[in-house]
Amino acid sequence: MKLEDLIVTLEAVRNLGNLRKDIASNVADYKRRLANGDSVTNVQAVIDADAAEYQRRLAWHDEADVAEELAAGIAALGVEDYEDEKQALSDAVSALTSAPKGSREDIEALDIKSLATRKTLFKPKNG
Amino acid sequence: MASFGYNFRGTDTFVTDGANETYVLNEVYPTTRGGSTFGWDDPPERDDRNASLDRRLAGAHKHSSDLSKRTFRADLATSGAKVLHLSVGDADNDRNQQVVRILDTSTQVLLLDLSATSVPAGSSRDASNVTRTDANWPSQEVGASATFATTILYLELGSSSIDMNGNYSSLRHLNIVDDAGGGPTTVKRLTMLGVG
Repeated sequence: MKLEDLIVTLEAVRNLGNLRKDIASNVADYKRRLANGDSVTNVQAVIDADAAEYQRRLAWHDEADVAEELAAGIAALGVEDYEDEKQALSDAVSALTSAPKGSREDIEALDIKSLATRKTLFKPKNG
Repeated sequence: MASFGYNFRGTDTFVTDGANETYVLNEVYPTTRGGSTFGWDDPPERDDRNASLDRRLAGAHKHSSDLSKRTFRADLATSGAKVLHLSVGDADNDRNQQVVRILDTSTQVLLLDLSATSVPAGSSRDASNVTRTDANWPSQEVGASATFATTILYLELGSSSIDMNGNYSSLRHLNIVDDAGGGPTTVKRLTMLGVG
């Protein structure tokens, strides 16, 4: 494994770890914005913008130069559940994107509790 | 006109941010909040100062620089012409030597070299390189225009090439506004700063 492969892999780990945390904490932030008097329209716009940023962050993993180095790093480290983690976050973003957000009740009902629990991303083959 | 602002402070609930703004605490890049992805490479020291000030001036992030810097990254929604708004200073302390540099990925688009300029407590330097009191900054601050070829903005707090002799560079607010053109009156072209 080359050093650059490891650097990209570590960046990918940080990206996914932060993304999981961001999705969960931002759901709380939307509710706080409503409580602070922000309009449903404004909060909905923030949710949509966040979801677009989440998708862009996930897409970074698939950029040609990144994907090649990432694949080498993951293979060398023996990471078993990288794709599962990425897919879980992608599914969560899709759920957020498609969830109804047109009313205060809709936004207050947003609940992605599973994302609030951080799991270990790396599971070495013999770990 | 699209815009996004970052309010640098110590705690999220110290003041309430406005629309198209978010607070910045000790987040490392990449962090997404408020529709923006941003973060520090290595978060500097953080302060809440005065909640009765304009929310954009209520806190600060500071870095004691002797040929070192901390870098904040913001991912822009689009490339193109922007107007940058800044508050560089501190509510409670004189800042005697500061430097803030903004880059379009690797190309410098703005430099506030205050290595020989004191900014008094209760005031800050705006993006047009003018010191404004905290009372005047909200209504009088002037932006600086810059054109981004990429969608990555880096802000360097402190400098690895200009010695600040251990003094703090202090960042309170950054706002990036899409420039619709037409020369708004609150914009100073960078050529007036000797930059770009």
